[in-house]
Amino acid sequence: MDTISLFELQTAIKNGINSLFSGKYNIVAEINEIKTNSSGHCYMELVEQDEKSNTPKAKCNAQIWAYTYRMLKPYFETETGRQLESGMKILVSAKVNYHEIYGLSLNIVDIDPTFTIGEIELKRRKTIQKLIEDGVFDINRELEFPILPLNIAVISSETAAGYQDFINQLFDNKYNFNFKTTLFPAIMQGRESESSILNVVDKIYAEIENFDVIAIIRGGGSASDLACFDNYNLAFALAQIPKPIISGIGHDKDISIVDMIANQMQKTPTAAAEFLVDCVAQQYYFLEELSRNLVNNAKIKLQNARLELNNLTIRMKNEAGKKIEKQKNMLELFFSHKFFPITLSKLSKEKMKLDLFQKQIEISNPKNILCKGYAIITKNGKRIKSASEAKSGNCVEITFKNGRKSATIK
Amino acid sequence: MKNQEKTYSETIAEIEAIIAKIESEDPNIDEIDNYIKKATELINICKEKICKTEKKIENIMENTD
Repeated sequence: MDTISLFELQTAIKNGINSLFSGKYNIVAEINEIKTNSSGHCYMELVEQDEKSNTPKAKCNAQIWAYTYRMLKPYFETETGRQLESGMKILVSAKVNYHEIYGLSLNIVDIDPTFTIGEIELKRRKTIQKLIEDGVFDINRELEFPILPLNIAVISSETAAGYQDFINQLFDNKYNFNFKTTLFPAIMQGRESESSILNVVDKIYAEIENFDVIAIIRGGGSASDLACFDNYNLAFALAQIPKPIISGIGHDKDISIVDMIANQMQKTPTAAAEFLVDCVAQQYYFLEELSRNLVNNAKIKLQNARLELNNLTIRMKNEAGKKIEKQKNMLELFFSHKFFPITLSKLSKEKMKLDLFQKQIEISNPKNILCKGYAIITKNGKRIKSASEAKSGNCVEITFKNGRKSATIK
Repeated sequence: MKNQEKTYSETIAEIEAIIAKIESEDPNIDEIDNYIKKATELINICKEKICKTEKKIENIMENTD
């Protein structure tokens, strides 16, 4: 059997590859891993994923030597606004390289940033489309923003400048409104941000009824820094929070997908705080005006009531006065035309009656008859009125006008 | 006095009763005397009452003018 040393084999492979793949190739691949060493060389593992199964179907190492990387890195970052990072799809110009020890690798000599921009944009659009198809894209925006957003759950990093700006703007508001904020600290950039924010979302759910709104706050940064806010899983979870979200993610140009699904989007953390203060102020002024109107209306009503009362009092006095006058006149008439005449007439009649009694008494008085020379004959005190009553021998008394005498009937 | 406590109507009724007695019954002279005195007294009381009432009415009439 013919044998060959490993080195000979590797050299033969190397020569073969070099002759077959001598030029540069424009390669589309996804960065699986990327690191830079102390010498400034950049080493990557490139991969191509099977779209259906999402498993790698090809893999290869690649490197950008320091002298090239020194130029490519800033160029790429300026154009795309992002750093080269894992998960990113890139279009590179590379030479195929085979080393006896290190095996196959690609030596990257150039990179096309516009491809990556396109890929990023495509991915964003796909993410948005998927959120729409899943029915979650609009749901947070359909929630009614509270008129008094005083209790706020804040997703942010305590050390971030954006968070401090937000808090300062909120608590130093000129109206002295009392906001209550609860910080749910999370990593707001980089690869760990997705899991970190999803984790705090779970915590927020546990206390969701304590809050009026959820604020997502971070200061300005590069496109790379803000890339996590285009993440599908993050947007999907945040959109479904049953309280309105206000985003204050500092950005210069494009808004993130989280901004799009949020109920209220503000450009910066400060603007987000200002918005919240303005909401409460609006309600405050509305109530002030209501109360002013109430007071004014009450004053007018009272005034009208007073006027009406005055009118009624005047009317009452007039009417009462008229009635009293009428009654007085009627009484006067009654007395002068009826009562007095009738009464006096009655009294007069009574006087005549008494005079009549007097005359009757005088007529009936036997003394008047005696004065005329007549006498009254009585027997045992009883008057003898006829001769037949005077029997012979009866003792009688004869009363004269000036005395009495006894006598016997013969 | 007892008769002054009686009403005017009661006094008139008493006068009428005395007159009836004088006319219909057969009193003796002394009794007649008493009756007449009593009746005259009662008549005077009534007349006085009437005079007083007349004066009062006249006063009222003057005051309401």
